[in-house]
Amino acid sequence: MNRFIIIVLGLISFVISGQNNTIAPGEKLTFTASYNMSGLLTDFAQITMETTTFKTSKSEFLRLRCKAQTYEKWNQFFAINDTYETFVNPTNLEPYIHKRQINEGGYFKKMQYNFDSKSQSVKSIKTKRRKDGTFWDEKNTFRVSEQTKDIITTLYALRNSDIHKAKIGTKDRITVLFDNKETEITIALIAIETIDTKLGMIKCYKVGVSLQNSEILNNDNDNVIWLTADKNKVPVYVKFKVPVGNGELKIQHATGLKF
Amino acid sequence: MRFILLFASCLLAFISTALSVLPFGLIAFIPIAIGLTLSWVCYKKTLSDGKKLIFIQLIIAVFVCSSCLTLYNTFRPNTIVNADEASEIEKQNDIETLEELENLEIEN
Repeated sequence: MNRFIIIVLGLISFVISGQNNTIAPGEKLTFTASYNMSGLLTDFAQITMETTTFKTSKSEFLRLRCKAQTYEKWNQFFAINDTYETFVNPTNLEPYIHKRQINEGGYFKKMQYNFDSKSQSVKSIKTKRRKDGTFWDEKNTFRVSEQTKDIITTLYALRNSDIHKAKIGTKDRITVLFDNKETEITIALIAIETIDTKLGMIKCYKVGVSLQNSEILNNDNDNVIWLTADKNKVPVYVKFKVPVGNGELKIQHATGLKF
Repeated sequence: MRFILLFASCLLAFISTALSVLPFGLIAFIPIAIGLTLSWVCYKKTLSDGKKLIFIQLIIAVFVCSSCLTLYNTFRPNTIVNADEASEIEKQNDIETLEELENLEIEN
């Protein structure tokens, strides 16, 4: 049975390409995040994903930034202001520095990863705030596999992948670094569908995401991303399920796309 | 019977007011719909019993106000507040990132 699974997985995999052919600086995607409350979806936050150029004296990096902010009417009850960003090589989306800053209802946490591809290691710095308002750091250095990426680079790498070459049912595994742990995620091309979005009726790749390789390809899995079936592969709709409930992300605007 | 209807209407009026103030969207219409139905039945009962209508009329008015508030909150545009403090923190982060990336060179 194990040999059969290995053969099947070996035959069917869609390649996450090393060369960046999709992501250009100046791109901005805006989403509305909704949460399911007693069967009714309520908009509570805005998610923006944008790419900009970040220049130093020696190099030009591509900054991939994802921000989540609650709408003003929610701030009195539970304000969220999270920023996830990674500075990557614009040619192949190789990450150099990843930063995550969480500010949710008074809880603050900052996480930074410095990737070293030569030694295949990551230096991490975790910053948290004590009750008295002072901060403390926790530093770690650990080895990672060659393909391990942070969550933001993974999202953009998924858009850079050769999904158009994959057949329905194709699966692939990606290793993501989150909270100092490498987590294996399985992604699968479930279907090609045309869905109604703010940008119009769009043909999309329906991609399922799973942590434990369960409930994929049954059309009812919990975490699904719809990517436009064009060269941009823009995520236009996302359904997600978290321990406290489920929700959706819907695209509102998309500007600065490469194609 | 009339007292039970009145009590239930009061309770639902309180819940619907609370939910209409909170940013929970259209969920407030659940107690509003139930409450309006019960208070309408109570109104009819009070009318047939020849009792004072002022209290039940007030409750119905509360439901109407809650409905208007819920609709207003649902359809007003969602806005993001960009605090000055957040912008300052971002600028500081950019300066720190620049210092860290200055030591790195992209290998192509």
